[in-house]
Amino acid sequence: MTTQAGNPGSHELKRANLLKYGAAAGLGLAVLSPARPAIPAQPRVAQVRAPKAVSAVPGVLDLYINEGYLKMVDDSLVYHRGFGNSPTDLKDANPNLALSPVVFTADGTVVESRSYPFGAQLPPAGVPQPYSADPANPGQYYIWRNYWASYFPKRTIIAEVGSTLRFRIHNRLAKEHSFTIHGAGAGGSDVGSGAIAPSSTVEFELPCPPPGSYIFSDPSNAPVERVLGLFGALVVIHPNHQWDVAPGFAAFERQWIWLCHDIDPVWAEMEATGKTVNPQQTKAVPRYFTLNGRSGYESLAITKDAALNLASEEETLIAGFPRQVDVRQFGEGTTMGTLRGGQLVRLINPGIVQHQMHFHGNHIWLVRWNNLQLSREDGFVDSDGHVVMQQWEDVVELPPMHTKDCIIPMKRPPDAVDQVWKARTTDWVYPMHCHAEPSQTAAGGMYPGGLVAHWTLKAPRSGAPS
Amino acid sequence: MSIINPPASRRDTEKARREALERERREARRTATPKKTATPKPTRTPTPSPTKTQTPTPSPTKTPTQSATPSPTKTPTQSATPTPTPTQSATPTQSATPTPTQSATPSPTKTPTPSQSATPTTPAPPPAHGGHTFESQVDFSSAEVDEDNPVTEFLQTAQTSYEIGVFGREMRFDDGATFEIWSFETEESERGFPGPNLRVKEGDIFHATVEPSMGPHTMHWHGMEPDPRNDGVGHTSFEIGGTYTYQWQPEPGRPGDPNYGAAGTYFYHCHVNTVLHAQMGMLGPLIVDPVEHPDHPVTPGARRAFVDGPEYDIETEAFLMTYSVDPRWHEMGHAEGLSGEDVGLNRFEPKHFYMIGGELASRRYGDEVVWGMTSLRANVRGGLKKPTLLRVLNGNYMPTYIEFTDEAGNDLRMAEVISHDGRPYRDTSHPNEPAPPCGAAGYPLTTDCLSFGAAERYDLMLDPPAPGRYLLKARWLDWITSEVLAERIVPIIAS
Repeated sequence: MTTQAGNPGSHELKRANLLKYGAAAGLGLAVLSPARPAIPAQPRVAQVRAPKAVSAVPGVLDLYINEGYLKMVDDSLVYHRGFGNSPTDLKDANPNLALSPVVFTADGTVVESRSYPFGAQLPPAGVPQPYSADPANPGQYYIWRNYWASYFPKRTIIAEVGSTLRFRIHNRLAKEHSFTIHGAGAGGSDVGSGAIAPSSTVEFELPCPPPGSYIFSDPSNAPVERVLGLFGALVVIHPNHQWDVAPGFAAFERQWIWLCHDIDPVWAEMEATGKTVNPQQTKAVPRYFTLNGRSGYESLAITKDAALNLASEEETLIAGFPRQVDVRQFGEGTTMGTLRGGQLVRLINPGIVQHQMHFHGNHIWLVRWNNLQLSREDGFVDSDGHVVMQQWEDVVELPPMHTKDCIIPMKRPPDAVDQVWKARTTDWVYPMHCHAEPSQTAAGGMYPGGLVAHWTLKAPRSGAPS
Repeated sequence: MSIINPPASRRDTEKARREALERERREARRTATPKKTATPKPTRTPTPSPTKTQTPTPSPTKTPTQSATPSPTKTPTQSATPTPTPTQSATPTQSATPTPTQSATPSPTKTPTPSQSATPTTPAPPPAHGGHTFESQVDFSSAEVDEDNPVTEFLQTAQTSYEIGVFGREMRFDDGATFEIWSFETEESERGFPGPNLRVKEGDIFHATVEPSMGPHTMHWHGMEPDPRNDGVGHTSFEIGGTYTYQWQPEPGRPGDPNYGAAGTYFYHCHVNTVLHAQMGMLGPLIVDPVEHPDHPVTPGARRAFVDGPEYDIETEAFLMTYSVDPRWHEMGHAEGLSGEDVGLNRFEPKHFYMIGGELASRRYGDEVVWGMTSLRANVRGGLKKPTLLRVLNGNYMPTYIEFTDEAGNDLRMAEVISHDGRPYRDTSHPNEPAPPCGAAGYPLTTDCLSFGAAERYDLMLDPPAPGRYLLKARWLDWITSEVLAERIVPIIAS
């Protein structure tokens, strides 16, 4: 584990040089809600000349805006940009365009880690094992509470409530770029670095926003830079409630981040050759659709590459053992140390297509939408025609730049015939796919080669630990 | 599988040949198969030997005693009245202070290595998709996964069963445009669009025996949640080359319990090369009716939307599917794109927009009949009849927005949303108490508009304020820009 320690009072960012944050956040300030508790410190930003070589600063995350070519699921190469952990060049065979997961801790450190919480048990191949068999419900299990770590995909930043998010953003490209965390500022405003000139570095910090799922991106010439790959997710977790969606709000067994993306090679090629895409003149036509950076058989972990398959299983392919749940309360089970609840899925769409995330096998329970914790009562239909309250869904509407947090209950598929359920000895694998079906293609065909995954209800096991 | 779309002339010949074969096949079935009656009919020959998969103790099939009165499966002992105890975490092993290392340069990521001592060790899970791995995406996409006659495991006696075929033919829509349509058919429905209305009651064993033609197909019961073999997805189970009987049993609802019950609006569609086959028309409505509970009796002429849901008028119950057509797609073949050729299935560019549906009880079937909605009846509350239930489905790939207005076009909150994706909206704010429907809890989800994307369903109770004429408008939106692509309007006649 690599850590970047930090004494919040002694880090090398020169506070005296910090400027109040820039244009990207200005609009947000204007709509600051007076009813919302004040955030203790304001985001700050400073722009300096980009040094050639960068030394790590404790407590500060360096992000490099790089460019390069990424392999698509059909082996074609498409030009991309991205926020990487280290500087790489255009012709690099493995350009660093998607940062490895990193955690801002409440005590001021920055920790590179694929898993969180630290010290929690790592689920084998991503699958949390059960606490014990459920004697009252054959084939079902008691589930560990506050026990299993979760794996996170690339492009994820985790922040603990109480941390300060400190960044140095290095723009290594020839165009101006920026870094914005959407909805993470005061009153839910966007907050960002402002413009970063070519070959420049901006130092930028903000107080950790409330628990939730946030998108970060380069909003320049929106949505073009996002489509080119300049995006990711910020997940905020309370360090004393690491297995709760928010303190006192929906406990879960482990969590999954699903980042949707849509790739347009025509836009990419235009930008690669020095042009600037005008999204009004050149309409986007996505040709590849990814979930956590993978499509089709790569996302489904059925390639010949065992390492790739394992990464997809750990990061994307939801799996667990069947259990009893009651959506009226996700919390302590009837046996001490167990959970009566499911797994958390954070559906995050920095892409440009309205995705329709369809789960087979289980409906999922929506708990939070764009970081609004949904109520269990007093629901209503908003002026856009969406029902605002916690609810079951088998298709989750996920427009561009929206996030939805859901609990997949991992219950016995309710419409399976009893005899079939009782005779079950193998895993039951169910698809999850976007039902806006053109997103199920790659390069104009090859169904199901797009934004697809599956989830697995694990087979009964003899002698579950107790 | 065919790979390349043949030239037009060859395609026409092929189509004529296929239609002739279809006619023969259908005629043969018509003379051989007894017509479906209202009474539950016994299933096809019991097939007592589940093959292929696990067979621990398959005391298979022929269990009429239990299937005739299907008892609710599983009786959880803890979920109905949970008694949460104070939280006491099992082993909250948070190492809040990971060791800092002042690395001068960014180091490669390493995974923290927590103690594994308490971890129950298990072997790595077997790979999904039957353990198959593939060299490439095109290898996966073009893999043949069809089985001629897969076996229905533990075949039960059905209370509801259908015999379903597949056909393709040209159809004329209400704007005069004609397209090649593929869809499902039953004896009753003949060859119309969309596929026939299928209906089943909670707790009943449901069978659909499918005999595809024009290549392998499946039927996926969108929103129903059976075992994977009966989920009807080609790449996680099998495609059907010959025939297969799908079997599932919609879970019965329990009043006030948000964890149980399947009553609501669903649809079915082919899940082979789905992007193309669903657009070609291989889809249709599926309705699950609730069990009747003694605390919630039903008035003659009415049904309940779910076990403790509101009653609605059977006669005017209606279904609306927003659908659109990209004519380019309707020139394609069964396996278009699966062998790696770029056929542009990432580009759905609809040119024609349709409001499909009408009153469920009086749907007119017949060859080449497109079920188009021309108007909608709605009962005014306070009369002799129960209110009208409108079931809506987004049957295409674009976001849809519908709104209700008076005749002058003023927005009118005349719809109450009661269910979504086959699940009622309930107040779940009291962990140990019944969860009533939102309307019964005092906050009906009334609205004048609704946004819903591909494959979503909503159930709406219509509540026109007075007899008269109202409007239901539907708009299709671009899936990227949200630009309005089209609008269509049908009148609602309230009486």
